[in-house]
Amino acid sequence: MLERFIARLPAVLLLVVILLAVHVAVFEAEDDARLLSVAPAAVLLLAYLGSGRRRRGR
Amino acid sequence: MSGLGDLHLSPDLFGLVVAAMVFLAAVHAYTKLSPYFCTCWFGAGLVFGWLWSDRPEEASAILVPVLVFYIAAAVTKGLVETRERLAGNHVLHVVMTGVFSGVIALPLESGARVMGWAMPAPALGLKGLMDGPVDPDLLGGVPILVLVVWVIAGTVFYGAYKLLDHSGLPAAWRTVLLFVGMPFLVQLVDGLADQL
Repeated sequence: MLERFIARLPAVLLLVVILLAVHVAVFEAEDDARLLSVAPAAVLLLAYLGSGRRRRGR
Repeated sequence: MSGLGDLHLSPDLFGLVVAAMVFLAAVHAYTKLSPYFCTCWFGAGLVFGWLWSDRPEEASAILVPVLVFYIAAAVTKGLVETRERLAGNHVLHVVMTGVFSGVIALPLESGARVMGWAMPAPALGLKGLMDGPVDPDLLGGVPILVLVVWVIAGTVFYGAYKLLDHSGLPAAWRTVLLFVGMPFLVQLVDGLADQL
Protein backbone atom coordinates (compact mmCIF):
# COMPACT_ATOMS: atom_id res chain seq x y z
CA MET A 1 0.00 0.00 0.00
CA LEU A 2 2.74 2.45 1.04
CA GLU A 3 4.85 1.32 -1.93
CA ARG A 4 2.00 2.05 -4.30
CA PHE A 5 1.51 5.48 -2.73
CA ILE A 6 5.20 6.30 -3.13
CA ALA A 7 5.16 5.10 -6.74
CA ARG A 8 2.31 7.51 -7.45
CA LEU A 9 3.83 10.50 -5.67
CA PRO A 10 4.57 12.55 -8.82
CA ALA A 11 0.87 12.40 -9.71
CA VAL A 12 -0.11 13.17 -6.11
CA LEU A 13 2.22 16.18 -5.98
CA LEU A 14 0.93 17.49 -9.30
CA LEU A 15 -2.62 17.04 -8.03
CA VAL A 16 -1.78 19.03 -4.88
CA VAL A 17 -0.39 21.86 -7.02
CA ILE A 18 -3.65 21.89 -8.99
CA LEU A 19 -5.82 21.77 -5.86
CA LEU A 20 -3.91 24.67 -4.29
CA ALA A 21 -4.63 26.84 -7.32
CA VAL A 22 -8.26 25.71 -7.53
CA HIS A 23 -8.75 26.52 -3.85
CA VAL A 24 -7.32 29.99 -4.35
CA ALA A 25 -9.44 30.63 -7.46
CA VAL A 26 -12.71 29.38 -5.96
CA PHE A 27 -12.53 30.20 -2.26
CA GLU A 28 -9.89 32.89 -1.76
CA ALA A 29 -10.02 35.07 -4.88
CA GLU A 30 -13.52 34.01 -5.96
CA ASP A 31 -12.32 34.58 -9.50
CA ASP A 32 -13.13 31.66 -11.79
CA ALA A 33 -10.91 33.10 -14.53
CA ARG A 34 -7.92 32.05 -12.45
CA LEU A 35 -8.88 28.44 -13.08
CA LEU A 36 -7.37 28.90 -16.55
CA SER A 37 -3.93 28.62 -14.95
CA VAL A 38 -4.81 25.07 -13.89
CA ALA A 39 -5.90 23.78 -17.31
CA PRO A 40 -2.45 22.90 -18.75
CA ALA A 41 -1.40 21.17 -15.52
CA ALA A 42 -4.67 19.20 -15.45
CA VAL A 43 -4.07 18.01 -19.03
CA LEU A 44 -0.52 17.03 -18.04
CA LEU A 45 -1.82 15.08 -15.05
CA LEU A 46 -4.34 13.21 -17.21
CA ALA A 47 -1.62 12.36 -19.76
CA TYR A 48 0.67 11.13 -16.98
CA LEU A 49 -2.08 9.00 -15.42
CA GLY A 50 -2.89 7.58 -18.87
CA SER A 51 0.74 6.64 -19.45
CA GLY A 52 0.85 5.01 -16.00
CA ARG A 53 -2.13 2.87 -16.92
CA ARG A 54 -0.37 1.83 -20.15
CA ARG A 55 2.80 0.96 -18.17
CA ARG A 56 0.88 -1.25 -15.78
CA GLY A 57 -1.05 -2.85 -18.65
CA ARG A 58 2.12 -4.15 -20.31
CA MET B 1 -19.35 23.81 10.50
CA SER B 2 -16.03 24.43 8.88
CA GLY B 3 -15.38 23.54 5.25
CA LEU B 4 -12.76 23.91 2.57
CA GLY B 5 -13.91 27.45 2.02
CA ASP B 6 -12.82 28.36 5.54
CA LEU B 7 -9.27 27.19 4.93
CA HIS B 8 -6.98 30.16 4.41
CA LEU B 9 -3.81 29.36 2.47
CA SER B 10 -1.61 31.97 4.08
CA PRO B 11 2.04 32.36 2.97
CA ASP B 12 3.11 30.49 6.13
CA LEU B 13 0.78 27.58 5.41
CA PHE B 14 1.91 27.55 1.78
CA GLY B 15 5.52 27.30 2.98
CA LEU B 16 4.59 24.30 5.13
CA VAL B 17 2.74 22.61 2.25
CA VAL B 18 5.69 23.14 -0.09
CA ALA B 19 8.14 21.80 2.52
CA ALA B 20 6.00 18.67 2.93
CA MET B 21 5.81 18.26 -0.85
CA VAL B 22 9.59 18.53 -1.18
CA PHE B 23 9.95 15.87 1.52
CA LEU B 24 7.59 13.53 -0.35
CA ALA B 25 9.35 14.21 -3.65
CA ALA B 26 12.68 13.34 -2.00
CA VAL B 27 11.18 10.11 -0.67
CA HIS B 28 10.11 9.25 -4.22
CA ALA B 29 13.56 10.03 -5.61
CA TYR B 30 15.30 8.05 -2.86
CA THR B 31 13.17 4.92 -3.19
CA LYS B 32 12.40 4.88 -6.92
CA LEU B 33 15.71 6.15 -8.29
CA SER B 34 18.72 6.19 -5.96
CA PRO B 35 20.03 7.83 -2.79
CA TYR B 36 22.78 9.44 -4.90
CA PHE B 37 20.28 10.95 -7.32
CA CYS B 38 18.12 12.16 -4.44
CA THR B 39 21.01 13.88 -2.69
CA CYS B 40 22.38 15.49 -5.83
CA TRP B 41 19.06 16.63 -7.27
CA PHE B 42 17.62 18.13 -4.11
CA GLY B 43 20.96 19.44 -2.82
CA ALA B 44 21.75 21.17 -6.09
CA GLY B 45 18.14 22.28 -6.46
CA LEU B 46 18.13 23.98 -3.08
CA VAL B 47 21.36 25.80 -3.92
CA PHE B 48 19.84 26.80 -7.25
CA GLY B 49 16.67 28.02 -5.50
CA TRP B 50 18.62 30.05 -2.96
CA LEU B 51 20.72 31.72 -5.64
CA TRP B 52 17.83 32.24 -8.06
CA SER B 53 15.35 33.64 -5.57
CA ASP B 54 15.19 37.30 -4.77
CA ARG B 55 13.55 36.34 -1.45
CA PRO B 56 15.97 33.77 0.01
CA GLU B 57 14.68 34.50 3.50
CA GLU B 58 11.40 32.80 2.54
CA ALA B 59 11.48 28.98 2.60
CA SER B 60 8.94 28.47 -0.17
CA ALA B 61 10.87 30.73 -2.55
CA ILE B 62 13.88 28.43 -2.21
CA LEU B 63 11.93 25.16 -2.23
CA VAL B 64 9.53 25.74 -5.11
CA PRO B 65 12.07 25.55 -8.00
CA VAL B 66 13.49 22.14 -7.03
CA LEU B 67 9.98 20.81 -6.42
CA VAL B 68 8.67 22.07 -9.76
CA PHE B 69 11.69 20.71 -11.65
CA TYR B 70 11.38 17.33 -9.93
CA ILE B 71 7.68 16.90 -10.69
CA ALA B 72 8.34 17.98 -14.28
CA ALA B 73 11.22 15.50 -14.68
CA ALA B 74 9.22 12.66 -13.10
CA VAL B 75 6.21 13.33 -15.33
CA THR B 76 8.48 13.49 -18.38
CA LYS B 77 10.02 10.14 -17.43
CA GLY B 78 6.56 8.62 -17.00
CA LEU B 79 5.35 9.89 -20.37
CA VAL B 80 8.51 8.88 -22.21
CA GLU B 81 8.64 5.34 -20.78
CA THR B 82 5.48 4.35 -22.63
CA ARG B 83 6.74 5.67 -25.97
CA GLU B 84 9.70 3.62 -27.15
CA ARG B 85 10.66 5.94 -29.99
CA LEU B 86 11.18 8.77 -27.48
CA ALA B 87 13.10 6.68 -24.96
CA GLY B 88 16.65 7.53 -26.03
CA ASN B 89 16.11 11.15 -27.03
CA HIS B 90 17.80 13.03 -24.20
CA VAL B 91 17.43 16.46 -25.79
CA LEU B 92 13.69 15.93 -26.04
CA HIS B 93 13.55 14.82 -22.38
CA VAL B 94 15.30 18.02 -21.32
CA VAL B 95 13.03 20.23 -23.41
CA MET B 96 9.90 18.42 -22.19
CA THR B 97 11.01 18.86 -18.58
CA GLY B 98 11.54 22.56 -19.22
CA VAL B 99 8.10 23.01 -20.77
CA PHE B 100 6.44 21.00 -18.01
CA SER B 101 8.24 23.12 -15.42
CA GLY B 102 6.40 26.11 -16.84
CA VAL B 103 3.09 24.24 -16.88
CA ILE B 104 3.49 23.16 -13.24
CA ALA B 105 4.71 26.55 -12.03
CA LEU B 106 1.78 28.36 -13.68
CA PRO B 107 -0.90 27.46 -11.07
CA LEU B 108 1.51 28.30 -8.25
CA GLU B 109 2.39 31.66 -9.81
CA SER B 110 -1.30 32.40 -10.27
CA GLY B 111 -2.04 31.57 -6.62
CA ALA B 112 0.97 33.55 -5.44
CA ARG B 113 -0.35 36.69 -7.13
CA VAL B 114 -3.52 36.52 -5.04
CA MET B 115 -2.20 35.13 -1.77
CA GLY B 116 1.21 36.77 -1.51
CA TRP B 117 2.99 33.41 -1.45
CA ALA B 118 6.75 33.71 -1.68
CA MET B 119 7.92 32.53 -5.08
CA PRO B 120 11.40 32.90 -6.54
CA ALA B 121 10.11 35.79 -8.66
CA PRO B 122 13.14 35.32 -10.86
CA ALA B 123 13.92 38.92 -11.53
CA LEU B 124 10.58 39.40 -13.25
CA GLY B 125 8.72 42.57 -12.55
CA LEU B 126 11.82 43.94 -10.88
CA LYS B 127 13.47 44.36 -14.24
CA GLY B 128 10.45 45.99 -15.80
CA LEU B 129 9.43 43.11 -18.01
CA MET B 130 6.12 43.67 -19.71
CA ASP B 131 3.23 41.23 -19.86
CA GLY B 132 4.23 39.84 -23.26
CA PRO B 133 2.08 39.09 -26.29
CA VAL B 134 -0.50 36.99 -24.42
CA ASP B 135 -3.16 38.51 -22.17
CA PRO B 136 -2.24 37.46 -18.59
CA ASP B 137 -5.96 36.87 -17.89
CA LEU B 138 -5.77 33.85 -20.22
CA LEU B 139 -3.10 32.38 -17.94
CA GLY B 140 -4.84 33.02 -14.64
CA GLY B 141 -3.26 36.43 -14.18
CA VAL B 142 0.31 35.32 -14.91
CA PRO B 143 2.35 37.14 -17.60
CA ILE B 144 3.55 34.66 -20.20
CA LEU B 145 7.12 35.86 -19.73
CA VAL B 146 7.04 34.44 -16.20
CA LEU B 147 6.10 31.14 -17.75
CA VAL B 148 8.91 31.38 -20.29
CA VAL B 149 11.46 32.03 -17.55
CA TRP B 150 10.26 28.90 -15.71
CA VAL B 151 10.64 26.93 -18.96
CA ILE B 152 14.18 28.28 -19.37
CA ALA B 153 15.06 27.49 -15.74
CA GLY B 154 13.71 23.94 -15.93
CA THR B 155 15.51 23.29 -19.20
CA VAL B 156 18.82 24.66 -17.95
CA PHE B 157 18.67 22.84 -14.59
CA TYR B 158 17.70 19.46 -16.02
CA GLY B 159 19.98 19.94 -19.02
CA ALA B 160 22.98 20.48 -16.75
CA TYR B 161 22.08 17.46 -14.64
CA LYS B 162 21.59 15.27 -17.71
CA LEU B 163 24.82 16.47 -19.28
CA LEU B 164 26.84 15.56 -16.19
CA ASP B 165 24.94 12.29 -15.79
CA HIS B 166 26.03 11.19 -19.26
CA SER B 167 29.52 12.69 -19.12
CA GLY B 168 31.15 9.46 -18.04
CA LEU B 169 32.86 11.21 -15.14
CA PRO B 170 33.09 9.48 -11.75
CA ALA B 171 30.22 10.24 -9.37
CA ALA B 172 32.43 12.34 -7.09
CA TRP B 173 33.44 14.66 -9.93
CA ARG B 174 29.89 14.93 -11.20
CA THR B 175 28.75 15.94 -7.73
CA VAL B 176 31.42 18.60 -7.36
CA LEU B 177 30.79 19.99 -10.84
CA LEU B 178 27.03 20.04 -10.28
CA PHE B 179 27.31 22.12 -7.13
CA VAL B 180 30.07 24.38 -8.45
CA GLY B 181 28.03 24.93 -11.60
CA MET B 182 24.89 26.19 -9.84
CA PRO B 183 25.88 29.89 -9.70
CA PHE B 184 26.70 29.76 -13.42
CA LEU B 185 23.37 28.10 -14.21
CA VAL B 186 21.53 30.84 -12.36
CA GLN B 187 23.53 33.45 -14.26
CA LEU B 188 22.65 31.69 -17.51
CA VAL B 189 18.94 31.65 -16.65
CA ASP B 190 18.99 35.31 -15.64
CA GLY B 191 20.95 36.18 -18.78
CA LEU B 192 18.45 34.42 -21.02
CA ALA B 193 15.56 36.02 -19.11
CA ASP B 194 17.11 39.43 -19.73
CA GLN B 195 16.88 38.76 -23.47
CA LEU B 196 13.08 38.47 -23.29
